[in-house]
Parts: sequence; structure tokens; C-alpha cells
Amino acid sequence: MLFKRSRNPRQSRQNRTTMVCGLLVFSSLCGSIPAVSAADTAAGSKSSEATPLAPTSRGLPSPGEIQPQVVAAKVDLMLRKELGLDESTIASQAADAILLRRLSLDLLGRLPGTKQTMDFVASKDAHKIDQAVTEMLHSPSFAQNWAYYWRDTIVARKTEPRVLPFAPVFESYFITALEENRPWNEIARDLITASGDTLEDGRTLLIASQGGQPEDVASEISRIFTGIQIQCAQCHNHPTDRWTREQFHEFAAFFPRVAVRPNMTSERRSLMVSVNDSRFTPPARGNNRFVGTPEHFMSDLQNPEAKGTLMKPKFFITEQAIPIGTPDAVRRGRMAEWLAGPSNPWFAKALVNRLWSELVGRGFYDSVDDIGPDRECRAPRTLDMLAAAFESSGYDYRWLVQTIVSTKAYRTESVSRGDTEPYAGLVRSVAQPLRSDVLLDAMADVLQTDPAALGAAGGGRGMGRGPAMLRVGFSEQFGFDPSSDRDEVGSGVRETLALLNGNASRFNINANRPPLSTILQQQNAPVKIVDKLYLHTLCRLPDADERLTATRYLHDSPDGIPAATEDLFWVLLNSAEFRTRR
Amino acid sequence: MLSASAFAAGALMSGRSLSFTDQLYAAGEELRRQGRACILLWMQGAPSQFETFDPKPGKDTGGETKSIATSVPGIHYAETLPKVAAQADQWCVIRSMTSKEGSHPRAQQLLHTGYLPGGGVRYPALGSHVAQRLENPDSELPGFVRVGNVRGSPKAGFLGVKYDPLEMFDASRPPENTQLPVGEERYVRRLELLDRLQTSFAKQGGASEVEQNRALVETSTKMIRSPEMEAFALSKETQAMRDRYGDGGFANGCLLARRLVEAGVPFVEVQLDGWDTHFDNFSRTQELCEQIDQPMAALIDDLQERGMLERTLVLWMGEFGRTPKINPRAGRDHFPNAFSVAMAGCGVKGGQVVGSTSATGEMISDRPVQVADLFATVFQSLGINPEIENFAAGRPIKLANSGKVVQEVFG
Repeated sequence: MLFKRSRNPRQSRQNRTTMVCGLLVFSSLCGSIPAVSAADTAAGSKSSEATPLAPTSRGLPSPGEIQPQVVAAKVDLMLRKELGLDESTIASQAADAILLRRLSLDLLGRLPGTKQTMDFVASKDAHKIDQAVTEMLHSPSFAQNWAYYWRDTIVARKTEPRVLPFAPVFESYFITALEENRPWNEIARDLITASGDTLEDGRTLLIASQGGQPEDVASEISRIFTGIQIQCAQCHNHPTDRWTREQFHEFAAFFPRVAVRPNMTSERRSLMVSVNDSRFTPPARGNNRFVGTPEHFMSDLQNPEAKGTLMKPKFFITEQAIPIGTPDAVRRGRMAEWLAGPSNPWFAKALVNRLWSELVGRGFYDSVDDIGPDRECRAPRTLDMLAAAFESSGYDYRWLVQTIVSTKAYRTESVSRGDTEPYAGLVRSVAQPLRSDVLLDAMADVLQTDPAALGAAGGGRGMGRGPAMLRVGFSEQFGFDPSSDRDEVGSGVRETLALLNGNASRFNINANRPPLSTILQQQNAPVKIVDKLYLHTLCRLPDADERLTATRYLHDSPDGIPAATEDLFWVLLNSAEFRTRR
Repeated sequence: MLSASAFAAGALMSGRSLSFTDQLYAAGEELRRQGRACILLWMQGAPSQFETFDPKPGKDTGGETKSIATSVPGIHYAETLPKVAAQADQWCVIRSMTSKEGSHPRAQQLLHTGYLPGGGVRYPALGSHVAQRLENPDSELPGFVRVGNVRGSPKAGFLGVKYDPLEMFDASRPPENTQLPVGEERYVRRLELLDRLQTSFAKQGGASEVEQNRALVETSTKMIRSPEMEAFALSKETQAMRDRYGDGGFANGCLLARRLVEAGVPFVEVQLDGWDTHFDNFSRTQELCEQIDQPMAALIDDLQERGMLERTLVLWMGEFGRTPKINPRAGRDHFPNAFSVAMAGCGVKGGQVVGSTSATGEMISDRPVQVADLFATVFQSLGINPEIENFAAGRPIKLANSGKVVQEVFG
């Protein structure tokens, strides 16, 4: 039985050329597999150096052509051409205040300050948006924001729940990596080839999250870094995709020597991602797999108790393989080179598609982690171009973010997530729900309190010491998997209750405490209070209707202006807009 | 149950056409009207079967634990559960549960969802499945309530946040954040202002966001202002009734479970942590059994007196069992090879034992039951067809992971 892939009813018109495009892409990447050269087999792999690549037969742009604004303009143009849209359908740019808030939330995971908003709106500088972007790219919050994003992404699919305490260790690693502008292919390599203690080395989080099980680790690495979900082929040939069971297990065969075991002393407990290159494997106890094995075997479906078929490690996308008996460092090192490098276009495409989807609101594919040659791409030529440019930049993460937010598409007035506009997400910004870390920081900023206190109150309890763990706990309770379809993400009653009636509401929405006390001291007139509160909470001024309604409420309230101000503050905090990136 | 408007995605989806077996099960409205419910008593840490439902007195593996006769000739429980033993005629104990999973978090997932974690699927907890199919859409109470604070307990997964449990840590107090922060009239004024001030955003790029927010606020507010919330108030019970259940968090949880089921909540989970007795197994398990013996017995009696037992399934279990071998610290370690679960009510034939372990308890000697089989049996008891498939992550997911109903449970 074939299962229909497309889930999104708002999908753009069926792109019948997509299958052809898919085949073309696949055959083009088959055609461009480089022979395994002497350089590849040398101990120090050169391909990891972050130098822009010379144009190849795939038409990569030269370094001079990859200025973010230049590429962004090209993307806008190509998209319109590819989708058959003319100039008349270009939506207007979002209002200044909205755009600033959007950029601040997207790049930094934080709300802009009131003064920052006022200055930005008032400025007549034609380049103010680009300047704001440049400043944000180099703010420490940039790295922090994306560390949270990737922590959520990795941890969301964990099969080993005990990794949660080590998520902050990963965050530290990732922050450093971004601060040092580490290229994306090197970050991928770090996570693929990691070993060590989860408390000491944040690079181990991905492998530890999968309990070191080769099939699970392989699945996750493919899902996260190529966007291709090959694990459906684990037990049988994939029902709709081209991947076979053999291909899945050949890929898993890169990872059998790795295992994860608990590492407990009297003082602390952690997990150890270890490598076993010896031929000795102690017998397994129950389901526990604490030590790696030299090779991977694909189980015999007719005879599950038997050892199964010995699998030679082979990468299903480029068909590159290595011999049985290869030590782990070379195994995973090679794997990382092939997967996270120019011979695998899906590596660049996966991140481009994912970040585009995150920033603009919808991606080139329906999903961010279920793409590949058997999926429909809404604008394959544009994606290819942007992916090639990203590759040329040396897989520069900041470059990619900057380029995307420099497009006209990103900067348009957003539409609601429920909107059925066909190209929303490609030429039009789409509203996004805030991730839990972003919501936590937004609430803490607006309530002028400590995020740790909010996190604890919200359900981060019981996760152990420290604000970082409270945050992880809060994310576990209230967060969502960043890879999931945003259309299906929604908050529940529990989260709503916590925000409506929780401690934050109870104690911090108080006319005698900042921020309300400050506002009330500075302003007397209700209309000024309203403006100030809107700026403070929603980072914009109210429109005429809102101003009228809110001002009247303050005037007419039987409880007096300070109490009415508390009411208005509560209302703005509990509004959909506060929890949305529009 | 919770206001329907924005939650269309929670619709039931079955990947197959109706077969003969489907027609033996009710569905939708008809199923709900049967009014069945489930109370899950979750023993976190993995309770020792030797010190509860499968004692081995006189054997080395049995340790110091003696057995006692129950109200059923030929059936013995451990001496730690005298009150439950006195009503063994109501209980069906499965002594031959078996799995391969000895890791707490993974087994917690397995015994809550019927599936091991993995495959890119977020499997829903049993309670969420039951809430989805049995909850009354007109009720303002949640369909799944969980009393306890065990971290990592699975929730609604791919069924969506609508079917997440309402979690409570203390059964003697109302659920968190259900007290209005200001007086009711002022709260109503706030809600009106919230509604009016969302109109602009709703018209300018926030239509579905505002709609969802409005629905959630309405649902949450309806719930906390509902007279049905009284179901959470243990203070409404007489002292005599409270004394029947006894003192402590677990006792309060059991009493609350009865109240909630009575008020129409189809699934309540009451958790008790502490069973992971790697050391000092005997005294600690004794102490834990003292916390559960009286409330469990009281719960069954109470349900029966109210005529609720025949449509309420009570299920007692943990992640796995504990080793026959007693370690040097007088403890028992993890043992998924053979463990016990106990069931009562809702069609379960009491006064029996299904399956058995060997004389020393070191292995199963008869009728192994997989976790998936247990799930099939539970769904069967609740009138839900275990063969039903949900659709998630691009493929069909069976409710009971292809388990087979253990027919002996129903006699």
C-alpha cells in the first residue's frame, strides 16, 4: 500500500516537474562523485578547511558573487520566476517595529527594547534594516539562540531520556562553535565523530541521545544533516522512497563500534560515548549495549535470532564505501567527510531548507527533516542555487542566516499560519509560534524577572540544579520539536493555565512593581500608559482601534487606573500576538 | 470535552476499512456512552514481584518475605499486602509479564505506551489514547489526569497537546494554576478586554493564531470556572471516607481517582515512586506496600459499592520486576524477564492468576505475556478495538503494537 506523502493541504499547485527535477538532481550527484583521491585518504582531511570552493561543473558561484544581499536579491528574483509570479504580487514590507521584533526574535531569541524600537522606527537611514541585522549577527545572543534551537532539535528525538542533564553542555559547545564561526560541515563532523563524557564534551549529545545504538545514530545523523529519513527502510524496503533495507544497514555500519554506557562515580553521573576498536565484545546483558562491536549485521527477518548479514559501510547518497575492519576514527571520519561535504548536495540543501522554513515560515519542502530525491520541492532551482552559494561560503552559518533575512520574502508583512495563500513561506513571511526558550526570555524581559524563576514555576522543577536545567525542563514541558510541522504545534491547556493564572501572573503583574510602577510614575494620561505598555510588551504602538479600546478601559475601570493597568498588562501578555513571531 | 474549535487535528484516523472484528467494538458516541474508565496505579522504580504478588517463601530467592493466604483458596500474595489479599477475588494477577527492557526511562516509555522509544514517532501514553476515545466532549474536565511527579512520564505524543494529561503533584490540593489571580468579576472584564484587543491582529496576519488562543483561553477558563472542578476537591468527602483510604499522597490520589472517574474523567493515573530497591529491598518495599495496601483495597470496595467497578478498570504495574538473586546490599536489581501486574474491574475476572513463574521465580514457567499483549487486553477491557491504527510519521501505528488479547483475563 502506497502512502501519500503530501500532508499539507495548502501545498502549492502540484509541481509535476518535481519528480523529474528530483531525478535530475540525483543523477547529477551520481555524476559528480569524485574518485577517492590520495588527498581524501590522507590522515588530515583537507576538505574541512573553510575556504570557498572554486566553481565546479555544478556551477557554484565564485567568492565575489556570494555577498548576502546579492544572493538574496537573486533568490527573490528566481523564486518569482520559478513560481510564475509577476511583480504585482509582491507583498508590502512589514512595518518597521514589526520587522525589528521579528529580526530580534529570529536572530537573537529576544525582544527588542523600547528605546531600540523607537530609535529604529524614527531613523531615516535607508540601510537601517541591514545594519540592525549586522549588529544582531554579532551579538552573543545570536549564538545562544541557535544553541537552544539545536539542543531542542537533537533532544526532541532522544531514545535515551537520561541525556537531558547534558543538554547545557552541548549548548556551551555550540555557542563557542558559532562564536568562532565554525563552518557547518565542521560542526556536523564534530557531532558525527564525537566520543567522550557527556558532562565534559558537548559534541557527544547527538550520539548519547540515541543511546549509541548504530541504527538510531545513523537515522538521526541522516535526518538532521541531510534531511533524509532513512530509518523507515530499517525493517523493510521503504514503502515510497527508493531506499532499501540494505542501504539503511550499510549506513548503520559506519557506527557499530560506538556505544554509550552510564559513567557513575560517587560524585556525579554521566554517560560515556565510547569506541571499541578491539575484536572483543562482552556478551550483551538484556537490552543493554554498553560496548561497541567491530561490525554491523543486518538481522535476518526470517530468523531474528541468527547473527544476520555482515554489512559493509556504504553511504547511500554517494555510494562511497569503506572496507570491513576499518577502525572507528576512519569510519566516522570518512562518513563525516562524505555526508558533510560537497559530494553530498543534500547536506547544504537540508540546512538551507530548514533555516528558510524557520525564518520565513515555510520551507521549500513540506518538512525540514523529510526531504530528499523522492519528495516534492516547491522551487528546486532556487533551492539549488542558494544551497550552492551556501556551500561556496564555506558552509558559513551566519552567512546563510544573513542571506535569508536579506530577502524581500523574509521582510514582507506576514500572513497567519492558517492562511491558504499558496506561496506563503516562499515569497511571504508566515507567522511562527515562539519556541519555549524564546517565550521564557520574552516573559522574563517583559515582567522584569528572572527566567529561572519563571522556568521553575512553569514546570522545570525536578530537573536538578541550575538555571540551565530549569530551562531544559521548561522546554521538555512546554517546548516543541523544532523539526515538527509548525502547523501542528499548539499549546495546551496546561501551558495556557500557567500563563493565565500562574505565579508570573500573580506576583509580577503588579502596579507596585516594575515595569508597571515605572510606567505609572512616568505617565499620567491613560492614553500614554497604553502606548507605553504596548511598546513594552508587544514592541509596537497600538493602532487607532486598540488605543481607543484600551484607553477607554482604563478610564472606565471600576478598580481605578493602576488596577486597570494590571489588567491591560495581563491581557497583552496572554494575547496570541505576544506568543507569535509575526 | 475540551472545546472543539481549534483542535480539529485531534480527529481519529484509521488507516483501514471496517472489518468484521471492528463491528464487535463500539466507537465514537456509542463507545463513550458505555462510560468506561481506567485507573492506572503506576509503581515507578519497578516493584519487586517477590514482595508483592508472586512470593517465593522458603526459597533462597524469596528472601525473608512470607506469603499469606488470600480470599481465594490456592492463591497467595506476599504478607505485605494483607488488605488486597483479602479481596483477591476481585483481582487478576498476571505473573508472567516479560520484556527485554531493563532501563528505567525506556521501560517507563514501554509500559506507558506499549512501544519502545524510537523510529521518529512520539508514541502516546495509554491515558491519552483512552482520553481521545472515551472522553465526553461536553464535559469541561480533562480526559486524562495524572497525579504524581515522575519525570519523563509519556504524554499525548502524536495525538497532540489536547490529550496531554492534566498533571497534579498533590491530590489534596486543586490542580495548579486553576485559581483565578483576581476576583471573578475583574477576571471576566480581563477576558472581555483580551477578546476585543485581539481583533486587529486577527485581521492582520494572525487569524488562526488568535482563533487558537481564543479557543484555549475559553477552554481553560471554562474548566477552572466549571462546577465540575469540584471533582478535584477531596474536602467534599466525609472524614469517614477519607479514613477508609488512609493517609498519604497515594491514598489521596486513589480517592481523587474515584471522584474524577465518577465525574466522567475516563483516565486517571496515580503514581508512586520509590520502588527501585537496589538496596534494602525488604524494609523499603514493606514501607511502600504499607502506602498502597489500604488505599488499593478501599478503591476497589468503593468502586464496587458505587456500582462503578464493572465499568472501571484498575491496573497496577511498574516498569519491570526485580531479580530473584538478592544482592550484597539486601537489594534486588532490575528484572524484566518475569514480573507481575494486577488488574481488577471492567470485565476482568477476579480471583485468578494468569501465567506463572518457576519455583524460584527465576524464569517464566507458563504463559509469557508481552507488554503489547497487556495493552491489547487493556484496550479490550475498555471496549476499544486494539487493532485500530492511528496514522503518524507517515505510517500506520497500531494502538496495541500488534499485541494479542490475553483472553484468560476475562475468564
